[in-house]
Amino acid sequence: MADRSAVDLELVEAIFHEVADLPLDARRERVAERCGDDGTLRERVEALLAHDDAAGREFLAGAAPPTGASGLPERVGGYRVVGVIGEGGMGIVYEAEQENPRRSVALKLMRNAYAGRALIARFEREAAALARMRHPGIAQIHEAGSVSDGRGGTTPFFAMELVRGVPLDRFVRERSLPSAKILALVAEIAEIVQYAHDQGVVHRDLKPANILVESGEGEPRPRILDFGIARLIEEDTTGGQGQSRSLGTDVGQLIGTLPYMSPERVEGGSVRIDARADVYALGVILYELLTGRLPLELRDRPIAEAARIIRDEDPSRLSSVDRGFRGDVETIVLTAMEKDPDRRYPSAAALAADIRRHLTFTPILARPTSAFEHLRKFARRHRTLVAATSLVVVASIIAAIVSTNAWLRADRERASAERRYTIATQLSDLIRSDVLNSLEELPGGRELRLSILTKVTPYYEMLASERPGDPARIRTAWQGLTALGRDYELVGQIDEARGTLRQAEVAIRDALTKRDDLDFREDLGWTRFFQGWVEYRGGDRTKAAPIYRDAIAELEPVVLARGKGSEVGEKLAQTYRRLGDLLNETGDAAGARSQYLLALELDEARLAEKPTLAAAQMNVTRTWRRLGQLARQSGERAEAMGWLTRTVELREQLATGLVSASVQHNLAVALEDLGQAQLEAGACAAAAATLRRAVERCDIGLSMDTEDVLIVQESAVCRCRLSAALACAGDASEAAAAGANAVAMIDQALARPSTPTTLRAIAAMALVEVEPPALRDPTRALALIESALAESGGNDLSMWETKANALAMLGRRAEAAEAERRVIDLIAPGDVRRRAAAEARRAEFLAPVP
Amino acid sequence: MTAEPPPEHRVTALLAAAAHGDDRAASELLPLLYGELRALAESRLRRTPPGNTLQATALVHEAYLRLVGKSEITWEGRGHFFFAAGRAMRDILVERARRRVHRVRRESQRAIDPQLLVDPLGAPDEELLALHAAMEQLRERDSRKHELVLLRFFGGLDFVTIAELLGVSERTVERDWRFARAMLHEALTGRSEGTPADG
Repeated sequence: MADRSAVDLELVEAIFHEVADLPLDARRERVAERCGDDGTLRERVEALLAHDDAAGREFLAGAAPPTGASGLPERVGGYRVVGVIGEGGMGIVYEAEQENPRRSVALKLMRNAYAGRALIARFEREAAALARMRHPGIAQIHEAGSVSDGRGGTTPFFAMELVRGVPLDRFVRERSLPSAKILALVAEIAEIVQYAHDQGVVHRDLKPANILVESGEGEPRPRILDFGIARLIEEDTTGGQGQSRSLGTDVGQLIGTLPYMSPERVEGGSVRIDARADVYALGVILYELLTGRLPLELRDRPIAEAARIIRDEDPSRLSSVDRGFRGDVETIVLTAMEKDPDRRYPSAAALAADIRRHLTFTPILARPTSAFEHLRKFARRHRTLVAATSLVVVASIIAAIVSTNAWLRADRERASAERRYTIATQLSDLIRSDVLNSLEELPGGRELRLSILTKVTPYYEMLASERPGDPARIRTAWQGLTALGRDYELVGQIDEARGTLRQAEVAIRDALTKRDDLDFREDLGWTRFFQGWVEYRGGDRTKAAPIYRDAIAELEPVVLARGKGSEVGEKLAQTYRRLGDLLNETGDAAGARSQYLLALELDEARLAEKPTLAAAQMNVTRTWRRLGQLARQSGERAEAMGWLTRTVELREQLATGLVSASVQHNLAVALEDLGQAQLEAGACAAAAATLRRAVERCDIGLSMDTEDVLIVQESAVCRCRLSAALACAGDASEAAAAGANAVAMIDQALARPSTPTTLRAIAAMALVEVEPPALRDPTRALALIESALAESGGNDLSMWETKANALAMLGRRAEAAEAERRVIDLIAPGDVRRRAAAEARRAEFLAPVP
Repeated sequence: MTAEPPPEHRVTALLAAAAHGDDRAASELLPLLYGELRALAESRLRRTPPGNTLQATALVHEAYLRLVGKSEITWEGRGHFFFAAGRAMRDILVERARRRVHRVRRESQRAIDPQLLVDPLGAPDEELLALHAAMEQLRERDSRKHELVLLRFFGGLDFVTIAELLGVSERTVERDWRFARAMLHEALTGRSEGTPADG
C-alpha cells in the first residue's frame, strides 16, 4: 500500500523541474529512469506534470486581457489570438496568427494607453518607420495599429516577428559561457544596435530581457526585441495629458529597467537621449553578463536615490569582482558606462570594434581613466559644491582637512612615534593618491597641491631626522620630500625645491649606507634626476649636466639588474632624454644624439614588455621626436620627416577619445615639429595644413584646461608657425589672422602673475618671427629674452638666436652679430653644419644694409 | 487635540518601520490598506461594464499611489507594502466571496473550474474560495510557495520583484511558480489521475 505522504515532495519537485521542458517521449523516459521502481514517486511526478500541462498559461496569471471573460481576446485587428506570451510594464504580449500573409506573430497590446486620434496617427506613422528596419538581428515589426478597447478608448498595438529564444542573461547563465564568448556575443549585439542607429532609431530600453538568443544548430543568434518602442510609448504617455503616470506606475517594471538606464535618461529634463544611451546599456549588460551582478547597487533604494546613484556613483570595478578582468576588459566596460555621454564610446560600432580588438589581441583604443579623470569624477560627485564655487575650492577643502592642525599639532607634541609614523604614512598615501596628483592638472591646482604638501612637510622632516633605520620609514619620508621638492619646482620656487630635494637625498643616502638596496638606489637616482631638473629649470644649466650623470650612474645598475623593459627603465630613459636636451641646447648635438639613442633602446624594451601601456607608447614618441628634431637641425630632412611622422601617428592614436589636456599638448608639439620640418623643406601648403591640426589640438587641450601654461605657450607658438606657413603659401589674409591670434595668446600668457623662463623665451621668439611683419615687436621681445637669458645662465643657444634676431630688427646690427657670436661659441666644434649656418647669419648681420 | 496626520504620511512611516522589522507596524498597515483597496475595488467594479474584468494588479498599484503618493519609500518598504496589499486583497476577496456564497446559499455543488481563475477580481466566488483552501494546504507544505502565490496572484508583483522580496533568484521564483501552479491546479481539480487508491 502506498501512502501519499510517504512521497518525498522535494524529490518530486526536483524530478519535475528536470523533465518539465523535455519533449514528451524524452520526458517519459527520464521520469522512468529517475523513479526506478518507485511507482508512487513516478505517479506523483506524472500527475503534477499533467496538471502543469493542463493549467495552461492563463491559470492564476493575475492579469486580465482587455476583452472577454474567457481570458483571451479572440481577435485583435487582423490577428487571431492564440495565447499569452508574457506581460510587461507596457502591456500584454499575445501570440497570434495573421491570415495574410500567414504567419505567427507576437502581438503587443499597450496597457493604459488611452491615446487620442492625433497621437494614434503619429504612433502609427513612427511605427511604420520602425517597420522599415530590416536586420536578421532585430525582431521585425510588421505593423502598428489600434483597436477599440470596448470602453470608448483606443488601444494601440504592435505586431512583430515572433522570436523563440532564451533571454540573454539566462542563455549565458545556463550555458556557463566563458568570458571570450560573452564578449563576442555582446560585440555582435552592439553591431546590430549600430545598424538601427544608422537608421536613426535608438532602442532606449536595452536589457537582457529584450535580447533573446536563438540557438538551434550552429552559432547562437542574438535577436533584439522592441527596437524604438520605448520612445513611442514615452512620448505618447507624456504627450497625452494626465497619462504620464502610466509608465511610472508599474513599480516592478521600473525596478527591472532602471539599472540599464543611463544617467542622462534618469536625469530627464532637456538632455537629448541619443544613441549613446544604448551604448551605456550595452556596457551594463556586458558587466552583468561577465560578473553575474549589476554594476551599481540599486536594490533597497528609493527610486530618487537609485537615480542619484546612477548619476553620481562609479560602478564597483570589474577587477574587484574578478581580477582576470583587469586591463582591457575593464577599460572597455567602464568606457561604455561613462556617466558623461561625450566620454563614452561615440557609437555602438566603436564599442564593438574595441571588443573585437581585445579578442584579437590588438591594442584597444579606449584609455583607462587617468588621474585627471578621477578628479573630474570626484568633482562630479560633489557637483553642487563645485558648481557653486570651483574645483579649486574643493581642493582647498581637502587641504583644510589635511591640515586640520589640531590633529597634526596635538600629535606632534605628545603622540608616540608610532602614531606619528602612521599619520605620515597616511599622508604619504594621500600624496600619491590620484586626487592629489590630479590637482596638478587643474586650474591653479599646482599651488594648491603645494599648500597641502607644505603642511605635511614637518612630518617628513621629522621622519627623516629620526633616522630609525627602518627602510619603510625612510622610503615614506623620501617619497613625501621628493614629491614636495618636485612641486616646489613646478610652481617656480626653486630654492625651496633645492632644499627639500636635498633633504630627500640625505635621507636616502643615509639608508644606503646602512643597506645597499636596489630600491634605495633607484630612489636616489630619481631624486638626483629631479635635482638636475631643478637646476636646469631654475639656474645655471651647466650645473644640471653632472647631476643628471650622477642620476644615470645610480639608475643604470638597477636597470641592469631588473631588465631594460622594467619600470625603472622609464626613469633612466627620461634622464637620458633630459641630459640629451641639455646637451643639444648648449651646442652638443652629437652628445645629445647618443643620449637619445640610449633612451630609445630602453623605450623599445619597455614597449616590448608592455605593448599596450599608453605611457610606454608616449615615452617612445618622446625619443622619436627628439631624434627628429636633431635630424631637422642638421638638415637631414628625410630622416627628420620619418621620425616626426611616426611620432605624430602614434600620438594621434593616443589622443583619440578620452584623454587629458597633456596628451593633446604632446600631439600639438609633435605636429608643430612636423609642420616646421615641412616648412623648411619648402612644402608650405602641407606645413600649413599640419600646423592647423596642431592649433586644433591646442584648442582641444585648452578646452580641457584653460590654465595650463604649457598649452597656452604651445598654442601661441603653433599659431605663430602657422602664420609663417600661410604667408609662405601666399595666403596673406589667413596668415594675418593666425598671427594676430598668436600675439593675443602671448599677451594673455604674459599677463599672468608669474611667468616661467621658457614662456618668456618662447614669447620673445614668437614676437620676432610672427607673420605678417607688422605684428612683430622686437623691443618687447628683447626685454623678454634678456630676462630669460639672465635667469637661465645664458647658455641656451636658441635664446641667443632670438636675441640676435630682435637686435637686428631694431637695427642694432653690431650687437646682433655679437649675440650670434655667442651662438657660434655654444655650438660644439664638431657640429660643422650648424656652425656654418650660424656663421652665415652672423656675416649677414655684419654686412651693410642694402 | 491633535489632528490626524494625512494617511500618506502614516503609511510612509509605517512602511519605514516595517522595513526595519517592526511587525506591529506591518499589522497596523493592513487596516489602512483594507479601507483603501475595498473602496477602490467597489468604485471600479461599479464603473466597469459587464464582460470586462479589472486587474488586481492595477488596483494594488493604484492603492499604492494613493496611500504612499510620491514619498520616497525604500525598496524594502515598497516590498512590505505589496506584500501587505497582497494579503489585504486576498482577505477582501475571500471575505466578499464567503458573504455572497452564504447569501445565495447555492445548493448544487458544481465542479470547480480552475480555468476561471485568471485574475482575482474576475474569478467566481466558488473558485476563489477553493483556491483559498488549496493555498492554505500549500502553506503547510511549503510556505515560500504560498507567499509567492499571494504576491503574484493577489499582489500583482512580477517575478523580478518577488525574487528580490523573497531573497531568491528569479529562476527559483519561476520554478517555484510553475510547481506551485501545478500543485494548486491539482488540488482544485482533485487527484483524478495517477492518484493511488487508498487502502
